[in-house]
Amino acid sequence: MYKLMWANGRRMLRDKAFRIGCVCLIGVSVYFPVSYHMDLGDQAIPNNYFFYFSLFIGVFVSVLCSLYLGTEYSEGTMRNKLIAGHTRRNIYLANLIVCTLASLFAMAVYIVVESLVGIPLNGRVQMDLPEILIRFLVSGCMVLSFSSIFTLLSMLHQNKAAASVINVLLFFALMLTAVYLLSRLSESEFIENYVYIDNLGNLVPGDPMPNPLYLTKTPRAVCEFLCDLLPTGQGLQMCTQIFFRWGRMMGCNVGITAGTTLLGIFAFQRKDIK
Amino acid sequence: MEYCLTAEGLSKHYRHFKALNGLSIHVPKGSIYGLVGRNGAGKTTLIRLICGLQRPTAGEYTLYGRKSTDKEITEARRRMGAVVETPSVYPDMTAEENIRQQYLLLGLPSFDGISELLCLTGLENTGKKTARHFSLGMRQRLGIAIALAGAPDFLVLDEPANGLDPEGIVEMRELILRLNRERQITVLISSHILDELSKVATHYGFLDHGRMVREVSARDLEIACRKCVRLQISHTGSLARVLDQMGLEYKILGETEADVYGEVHLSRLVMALSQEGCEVLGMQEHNESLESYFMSLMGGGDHV
Repeated sequence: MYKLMWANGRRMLRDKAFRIGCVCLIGVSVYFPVSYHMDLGDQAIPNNYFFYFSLFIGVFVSVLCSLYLGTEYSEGTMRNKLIAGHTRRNIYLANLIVCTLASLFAMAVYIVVESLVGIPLNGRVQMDLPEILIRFLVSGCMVLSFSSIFTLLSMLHQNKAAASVINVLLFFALMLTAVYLLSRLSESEFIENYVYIDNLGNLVPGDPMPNPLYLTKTPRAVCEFLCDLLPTGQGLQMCTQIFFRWGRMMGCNVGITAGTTLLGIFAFQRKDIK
Repeated sequence: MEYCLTAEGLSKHYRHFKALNGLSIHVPKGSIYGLVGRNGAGKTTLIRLICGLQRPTAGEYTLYGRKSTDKEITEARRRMGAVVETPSVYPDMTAEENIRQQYLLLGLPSFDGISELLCLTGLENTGKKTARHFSLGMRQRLGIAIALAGAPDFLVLDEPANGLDPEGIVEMRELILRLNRERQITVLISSHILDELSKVATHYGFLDHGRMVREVSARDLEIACRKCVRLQISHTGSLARVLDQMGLEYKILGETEADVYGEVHLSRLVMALSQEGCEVLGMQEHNESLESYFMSLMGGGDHV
């Protein structure tokens, strides 16, 4: 597998999609600190934008996996690997590892550039070092989850264009689901600060009343679990929330990676390749 | 005879369609084996199976003594190179980079042989031109160069002359012959261009509806397709005596029919037969090509 990874890594470094994706990420990593500084001046707090990458790194991974792995099918070079005597399991794992490493590398580039631009403008992130490291760790695991999901789809679709469309659509579907779940979870338990007009036409402040959209007990637990399970939910929580269940998120990422990889290897071993 | 590839009862079904239906094949070591068949006969499916791209539905094949069901088949497959359908090349890489990539895949210790492969396939002057800008012939040759990267003993080429111009076809033929003669590489070629195939093949396998109809060596085929004069005579006994006296090779087909091989001096033959009291009722010249052999074997009808 070492040979496969070495060959894949060399090709990844020359891959146009990877290079263009990295350039786009660098552009975004410069944009956020600069725009925050221009809007808020000295009031800009890096915490507000520093982890934004966890929102859109999934798009990068989805496009990278589908284009990089799709080339193996569209140009027929997957055949070279099989004819060279590599097992399908090794081919799958090598592809997954290289796509994951490339995505982590892109994320690292984003963080470094954002720090280099952001710290002189807006100062350091106002968090303890362990908290920052935990967020990086969860982000890395989230990238691993994304990579394993999109590798699975790309390896099972021999049509490069179809795989690209499916991957990107899936990312946005997961993102919309996470947004909906988080919005339900963020509903307040009581409706407060409302007024009503009494019979005499006076404005009367109302007593707090239960919010029908507020989730309780099992539905709330299920929603919370789904938010922690979905990589997009993890990304949203890291961007918007101070506290999050990072231990459960890490466990979910390990589960997603293991599940999709086992399923992918199983399906790829039975796949007829043209 | 030693074989590098054999198969018995090999089948591949795609839902209800039987692409291969109990096929058997025997590819002798050192041969150039021509796989001949109509569209959809199962040539490419067979190649996909032996390259490990697909799994047989039933039956098995043996590659260099390793059965397809053995785990060691991947090791045997390292002894082969293949170009299946279209050449498998990275379009954004140059010829040299593509071969270098294959070297990395194979884990070869150095890149020393790359320039030799480029020269062998006539791609030594492509420089920084990427494969995207190659002609079809150049891509085909690059595909072969990649297939040769691991110094294989067995080369599988699926329609190597497809889409090539006449000059490209001649170059491809010469390359295949060189590889076979100078490097003793066994070559399995599937081709529609039967005339071209007949210039290189030492053995043939005729496929139809996923089955091997006949395997024949080029020598046997040459005998079967030999130029001859088919005579209808009153009795073959007299003919045999006359032909023996004249030292001509012949084959008695029936009581009144025989094939006479070689250069026949017809007026002398007719006079000699007349003296023996044998009448010549008719004669036809037979000169069967690979194409006509194929058509008669498959029963004509569809095109190759």
